[in-house]
Amino acid sequence: VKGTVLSNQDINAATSAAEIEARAETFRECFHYLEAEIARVFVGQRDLVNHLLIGFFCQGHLLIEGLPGLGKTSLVRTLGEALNLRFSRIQCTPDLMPADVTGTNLLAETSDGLREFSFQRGPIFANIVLADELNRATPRTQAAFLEAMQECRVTVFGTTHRLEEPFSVFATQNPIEMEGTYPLPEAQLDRFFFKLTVRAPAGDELAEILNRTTGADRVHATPRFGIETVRSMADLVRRIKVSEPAMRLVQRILEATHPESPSAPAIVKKYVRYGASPRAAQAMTLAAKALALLAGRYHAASDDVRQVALPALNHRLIRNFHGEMEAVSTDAIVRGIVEAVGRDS
Amino acid sequence: MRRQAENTVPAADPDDVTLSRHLTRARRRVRLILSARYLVVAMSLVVAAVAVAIVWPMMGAAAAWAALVAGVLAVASACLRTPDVREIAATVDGRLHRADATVTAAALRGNRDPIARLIVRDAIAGLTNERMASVFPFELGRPAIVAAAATVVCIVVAAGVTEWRATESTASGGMRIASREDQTSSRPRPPQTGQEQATQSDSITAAAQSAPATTRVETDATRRTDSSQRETDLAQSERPTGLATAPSGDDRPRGSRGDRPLPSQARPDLGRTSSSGSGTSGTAGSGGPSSASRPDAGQTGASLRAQTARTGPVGGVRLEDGSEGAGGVQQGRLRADTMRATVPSAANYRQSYRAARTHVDAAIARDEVPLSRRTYVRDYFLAIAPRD
Repeated sequence: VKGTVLSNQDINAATSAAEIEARAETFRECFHYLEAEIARVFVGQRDLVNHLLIGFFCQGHLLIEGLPGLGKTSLVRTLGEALNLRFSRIQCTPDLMPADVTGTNLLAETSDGLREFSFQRGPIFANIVLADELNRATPRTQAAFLEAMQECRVTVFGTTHRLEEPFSVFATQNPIEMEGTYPLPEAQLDRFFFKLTVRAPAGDELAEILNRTTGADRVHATPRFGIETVRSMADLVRRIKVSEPAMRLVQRILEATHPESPSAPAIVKKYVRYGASPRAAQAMTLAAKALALLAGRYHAASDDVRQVALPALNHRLIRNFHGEMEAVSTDAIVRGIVEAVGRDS
Repeated sequence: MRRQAENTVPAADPDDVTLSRHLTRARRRVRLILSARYLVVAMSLVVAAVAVAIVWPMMGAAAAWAALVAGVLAVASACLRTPDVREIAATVDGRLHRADATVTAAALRGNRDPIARLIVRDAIAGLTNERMASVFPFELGRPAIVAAAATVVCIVVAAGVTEWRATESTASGGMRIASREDQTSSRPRPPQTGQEQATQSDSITAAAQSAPATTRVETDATRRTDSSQRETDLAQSERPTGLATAPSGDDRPRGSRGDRPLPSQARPDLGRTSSSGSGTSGTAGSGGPSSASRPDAGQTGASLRAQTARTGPVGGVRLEDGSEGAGGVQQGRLRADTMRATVPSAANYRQSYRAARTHVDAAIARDEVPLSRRTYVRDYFLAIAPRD
């Protein structure tokens, strides 16, 4: 009978829908599990943890900025432990060489007495790479991260080596000790999915940190899930749809970051020299998808975009002379943009 | 072949059909609300046009056409401006805080992707228990409310203008009569000898007798003026006497309208009045017989004066000219004859008229008489006002 015949495609679609629902449920479970595990080690700052996990499940690279001793390294390490992923840490210093990051060919003696070059993998070959104080590395070493972060591969002596996915670089930097540092160039900053700021703990949080870290027992995250789960989650995030209003909002926000744009608010025209790149729009859209999935939806909405606009844009706006002299933060500029765009829409 | 192709065509997804039904329902509801809003505006325009037509009857046709065009435009606008499905879905999302679920589902109808199916299913789940009446409550909106308020103001102003016009027309009629009387009474009259008075009276009498047709055949304008005059006379007849220009011999004011006799008083004396030749003022003195044609001419001036004082002036302004001698007698007779022909009892008629007129004025003031008939009713009552 016409109208009741189900094609194989329909049956597959129905099956896939059930599967997707199950994967979405797993995503939420995994996300909340990671939140709980990180909360055992890292006290407070739920927004920061939330954005960190969103960025990770979107397979982005995150720049974490904060004063020393705020738990940046613990945060990232706990994430790697909880997911049972390969974790490596690179302490960046001015004498750190690119080969120290990517690895190099070493002359090694084989079992039959011959000597040959074999590639010794560097710490970049991990699922979660913590580049601690990345701004202390020389530009040459920083550039070594570029290919890895963007292409998910490294080339040593003409040989390209693929990095295993999931792959995320979590770079930290200290905002106050600028002497002897090499500020990250804009091109490299743009490769970071989010820039997150770790704030100092409040009174109650500090007491909790003292209780947890000064006792006899050291808290460790319990590994759960695995590399396949993370890949599946990352794939699911990319399959989430984006609503038309959300897409338009992303477009408007991006346009508003450019001072020469007619839709740019006054704060942008006054304090911004260069606006955000399309990579920022990609970051906002992807993060909004993850946020929607976390909220139990299969489409990203405008509110999701608004929530992720700040971490996605604050390191992609380049202030002009007036902005730097008047110490106008990029956070304030991004908030002004989101407010102006929301008011106009 | 075609049959096989029809069978292989994938059936429309039930979720898509359900979602479309929900959106259609919402769209229908929005169209209804929009139509109501625009119709309120259109009806306000129509009512305003009617009010304008009442205030300015000359513009009635133009106002009616304008109202008709406005109404048609309003209905057409309501139909044309009904939002499309996407806008409806966005509005539903905004009102139900559905985070773009409906608008996304509407855009993904027909999409076979499993994620799209899930989105459509979730959107339907969110809409199933929602009543469109609660999502789109019946609100007229600010423009419609403003239009309705403006209409009320327009009606009130129109009613006020109409009332003011009626009052002004009545007042201006009275003022015209009063000014004419002032001119008549303030005009200094040269002293007349008895012969002059007799000659003048005779000429007036002759004119009155020779031109009865002009007296009876009156245009509408003159009738209206006379009606206003009669109204004024009626009002002045109720004033206390003593406003005369000069006292007569029997201490009654002469020539004053206040001492005009009631028709009931005048009618029994009509024969005598007509024969006395006293006119209205009684100032003829001992002028002797005023007219040879009168059967009982030859009464003395004193008797004439007394008779005049009792009967008073007759006919108001038009009789002023005939008041100086016996010539006015003929006019008094003519008018009395006319009255007698229509009203058997002038006193009762005056009272009845006054009561009826009071009732009519009150009815007009209460808007019980249609606006289009008020002038007619007023003219009618002016026309049947009692004559002296």
